[in-house]
Amino acid sequence: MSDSASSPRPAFRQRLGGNLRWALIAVACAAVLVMPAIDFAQRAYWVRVIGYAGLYIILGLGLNVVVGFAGLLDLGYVAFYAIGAYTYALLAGSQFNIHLSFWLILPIAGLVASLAGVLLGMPVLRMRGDYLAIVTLGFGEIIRLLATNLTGLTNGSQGLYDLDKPLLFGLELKTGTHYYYMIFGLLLIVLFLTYRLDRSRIGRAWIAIREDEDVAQMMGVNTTFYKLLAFGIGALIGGLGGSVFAAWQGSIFPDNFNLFVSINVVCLIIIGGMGSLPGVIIGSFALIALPDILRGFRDYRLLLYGLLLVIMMIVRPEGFIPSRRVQLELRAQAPAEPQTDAPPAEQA
Amino acid sequence: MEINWAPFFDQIINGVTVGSFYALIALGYTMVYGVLKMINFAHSEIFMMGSYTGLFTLTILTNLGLYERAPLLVVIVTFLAGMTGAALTGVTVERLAYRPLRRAARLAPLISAIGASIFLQELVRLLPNLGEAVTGISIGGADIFPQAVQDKVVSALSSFGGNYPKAYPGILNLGGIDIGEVYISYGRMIVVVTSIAMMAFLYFLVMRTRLGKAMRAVSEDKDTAALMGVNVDQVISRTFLIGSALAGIAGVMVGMYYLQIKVTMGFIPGIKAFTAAVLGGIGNIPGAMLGGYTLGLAESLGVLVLPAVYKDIVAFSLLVLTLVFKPTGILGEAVSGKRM
Amino acid sequence: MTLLAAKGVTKSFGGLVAVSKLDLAVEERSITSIIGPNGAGKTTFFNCVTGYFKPEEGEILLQGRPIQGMSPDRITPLGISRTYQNIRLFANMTAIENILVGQHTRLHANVPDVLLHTPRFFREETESKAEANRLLRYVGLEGHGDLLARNLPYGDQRRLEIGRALASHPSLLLLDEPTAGMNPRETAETMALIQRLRGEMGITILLIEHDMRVVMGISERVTVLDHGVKISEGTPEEVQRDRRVIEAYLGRGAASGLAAAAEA
Repeated sequence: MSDSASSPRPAFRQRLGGNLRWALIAVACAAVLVMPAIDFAQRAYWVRVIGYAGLYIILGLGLNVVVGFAGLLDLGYVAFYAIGAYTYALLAGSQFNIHLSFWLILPIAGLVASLAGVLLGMPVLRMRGDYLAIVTLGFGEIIRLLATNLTGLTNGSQGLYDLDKPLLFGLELKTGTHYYYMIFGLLLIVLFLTYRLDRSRIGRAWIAIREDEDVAQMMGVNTTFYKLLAFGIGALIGGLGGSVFAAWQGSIFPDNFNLFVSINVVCLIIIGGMGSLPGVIIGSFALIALPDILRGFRDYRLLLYGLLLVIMMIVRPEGFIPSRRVQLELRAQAPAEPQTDAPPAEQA
Repeated sequence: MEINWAPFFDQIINGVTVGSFYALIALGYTMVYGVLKMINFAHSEIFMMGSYTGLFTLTILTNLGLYERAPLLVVIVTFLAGMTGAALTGVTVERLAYRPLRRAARLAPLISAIGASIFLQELVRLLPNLGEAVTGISIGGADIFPQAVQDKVVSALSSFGGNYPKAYPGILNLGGIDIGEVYISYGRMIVVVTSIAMMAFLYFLVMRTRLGKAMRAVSEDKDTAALMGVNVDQVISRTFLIGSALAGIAGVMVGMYYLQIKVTMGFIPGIKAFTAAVLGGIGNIPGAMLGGYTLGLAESLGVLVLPAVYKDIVAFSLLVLTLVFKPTGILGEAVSGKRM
Repeated sequence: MTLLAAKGVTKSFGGLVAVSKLDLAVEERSITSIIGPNGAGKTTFFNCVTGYFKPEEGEILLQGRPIQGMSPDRITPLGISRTYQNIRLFANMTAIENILVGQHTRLHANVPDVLLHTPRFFREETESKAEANRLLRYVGLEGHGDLLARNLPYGDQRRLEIGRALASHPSLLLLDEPTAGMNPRETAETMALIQRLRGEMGITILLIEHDMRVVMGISERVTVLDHGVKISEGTPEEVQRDRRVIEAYLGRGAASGLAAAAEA
C-alpha cells in the first residue's frame, strides 16, 4: 500500500538530509566554539552578541518546558530571571557584605527561583490558559516593582553593583570570552537535560496536558503535579540564567527585568517552534542576535516581533522549526484518505 | 476625639474617578469575552490609540484657532475622534488578528493578541521614524519626495505619535466646588457623569436593542446563533466597535485628567481594568462597572494605609486572589473549572 | 460478582438534574449498555464514574470500594478507563505516543531516572514501547505508530482511542458511542473487537450506544435512561418490549432506531 511504497529513494534522501543536518550542526558548533579565539577587529562585539543570544537560548529552553511542553503560557518568566540575578547580587556583593562562591550561589539561585515558581504555580495552575497568562504577567511586574521599591534589600532603582567575579580554579572570570564559554557550557547542560525530559514519560505527560488536559488526567496523569514540575524546572533554569547574567554584568538594576525580557523569550519560542529545542536555538539567534547585528533594524525589532507573532499564528502556528512530532508528520506518508470522513475536531 | 474625615472623602472621590476609567475600559474586555470567550490583550493599546487620536485632533483644532472660538464643540469633536480612532483600531485588530483564528487552538488567538498589542505600541512610538524612512527613500541618489514633503510628513506624524510622552491640554481643569471641607473639581464630575452615561447607554443597547439581543445570542452559542440567522461576524465586529469606542472615551479623559500620555500608557490601566472585569465577573456588563468602581475605591482607600507605590501591587494581588478564591467574580460566570 | 455499582447517584447543573438517583450494577466480564435519548444523562454518568464530575449524592463503588469524588488520575490506576464520544486523542502526538501516555500510571520513571538514564528508565522505555506496539497490533494499527493521531483516518482514530484506554490495563472499560460515524463494516469490526476485549482480556465493558443493532447484538444487560432517570433495565429483549422505553423514544420523535431494530 501507499506507506509501504515509501521507496528507497526518499529514505536515501532522508538519510542524506540527516547527515547534512548533522554536518551543519557540527560546523555551527565548531564556529561558535573557536570564534572567540580568532583575532579579528570586532571580536569583543561578536563575543558579546553571541553570548547574549546564548543566554536567551538558556532562558528559551527553560520557558519552553513551561510553554512548549506543558502548554502553560507564562508571560512573567522574567520574574525568575530577576530572582536568580538578585540572589547572586545579594550573596556575592557589598550590599550585605556576603561573598559566597559563584559555584555555590548558582544552585541556590536555581532552587530559590524554582521555589518561587512552585509557589506561584500552586494557586494559579487551575486557571485557564489566558488567565494564567495575565496573572503571570502581573507576577512579573510585581517582582520588578518590589525590586524597585524594596530599597533596603535591593537598593531600588540605584541597583546593585561591584558584584564579585566568579573564580574558576583560581582564575577570575571577568572577560567577555570567559562568560561566553560559561554560557555555552550551561547551555549544553540545559539542552541535554531538557532533551532527556522531552523524550520520557515526563515529557509525554506534559505534551498530553498541552494537548488535552482533561484526557491527560483521565489517563492517570496527575496534572497538578506535572504542571508544578514544569513551572519549577522552568523557573530553575531562569534562575540559573539570571545568576550568570548578574555575574557577567557585575551590576543589576530593576529595569533589566522589565516585561520585554518575558516577551522576547516567549516570542523566540513561538517563532522558533513551540516545544522544539532546535526552534529555541534558531529563534534566539533570529530574535536576539540578528537585530543587534543588523543595526538599522534594531529600532524596529519589537514592531516586527508583534507583526511576526500575528502572522505566525495565522500562517504557520507551529513555528519555523516545528517540534519533532510535527516533523514526523511532514515526513510520513499521508494516509490513504486523510480524514475526509472525520467530523471537525472541535465538535463539542 | 475629633477625626478628620476630609482625606477619607477625598480618596472616595478619587476612587470613583479612577474607578470610572477602569469601568469604561473593563467593559471592552467583558464584552469581547462575552462574545468570543477570549481576553483581548490588545485592548489596552486600543485605549491608547483613542487617547492619541483625540490628542492629535485636539492639537489640529487648537492650531486652527477653533478652540478659542468654540471650545465645547472642539471638546466634543475630540471625544468623537478618540472614539473613532479606538473603534477603528479595535475593529481592524479583530478582523486581521483574531477572526482568522476563531477556530484555532486556544493559545493561538492569545498570542496573536499579544502580537497585535506590541505592534500597536511600537507603531505609535515609531510613526515619525517610519515616516522619515519612507519619505526618505531615494532611487539612484535622487529623493522621491522633496525635503519639504518629508518635513511635513514627519512633523505631522510626530504630532500624532513618537517616543516621548506627550502633553495633553488640561481642558478638564475647570475649577470646582467645596462641599464642607471636601473639594470636588468639575473635571472629576464630568469624568464620572460621562462614564455613567456611557455605561447606561451601553446597558440599554445590550438589553433593549436587536444588536444587543444578537450579541447575547452569540455569547450563548455562536453556532446556534448563526443557524438562527444572526450574522455572527458582524455582531462580533460591532462588539469590538462599541467596546473600543468606550475605551477611546476613557483614553481621551485619562489624557485630559492626567495631562500626559505615552505609548505604554495602556499597560497598567489595561491590566487593572481586566482585574476589574474579573472582579465583577467577566462577561457580565454590570459586573464590569461594579468591578471598576470597587477596584478604584479599594486602590485609593488603600493609599490611606499603605505607601502609594504599593498601589499596583495591591491591584495585582487582588486579581490573583479573585481568580483563586472567587473565579466567578461578584456577578459573573465561571472562568475556571470544568464545563461539559 | 459486581464490578461497578452505582447507588443513588445524582448530578445536577444549576437547576437541571442530569442524573437522578441512579442505581446501576455492572457484573464482572459483562457487556452492559446504557441507552437513552440525547440529553438523558448517559455521558454525565460516565463523567461521574471516571471522576470528572463529583456527584452531589450517592455512591459509586468499584469492587466494593467507594470512588465517587476521587480525581480521575487516582481512579484510573484502580482499573477504570474510557473513550470519548467525540474522539479526544492527543492530536499532535503520534499513535504510539498516545498509547505510551495511556501507560502513564504503570510506569514509574521519575526526574532523576529520566535525567540520569538509569537502568530502570531504559527497562521501562523498552518494555513500554514493546507493549505499545503489541496494543497497536491488537487494535489493528500495526505500522501506523509513527503517524500523528490527527492524521489517522476516522475509524483508526476510534481504534487508537480504544488502544490508549487499554494501555492502563483497566478492569472496566467505558466506551462512549464507539461506533458513532462508522460505516456498517467498521461497526461490525468494532463489535468484534469489543467482544474480543471481553473474551481475551477479560475486560468488563460498559458502553453508551445509539446504534440499536450494536446494543442488541453484543450486550447482555441494557439500562435505559431518560431525563437522568432510569426507566428500564434488563436483557436486550426485555428492554425492547418495555412500553416506557418505546414511549421515551417515541415521545421525542426518535423512535426510528428502536423501531427498526425491533423489526429486524
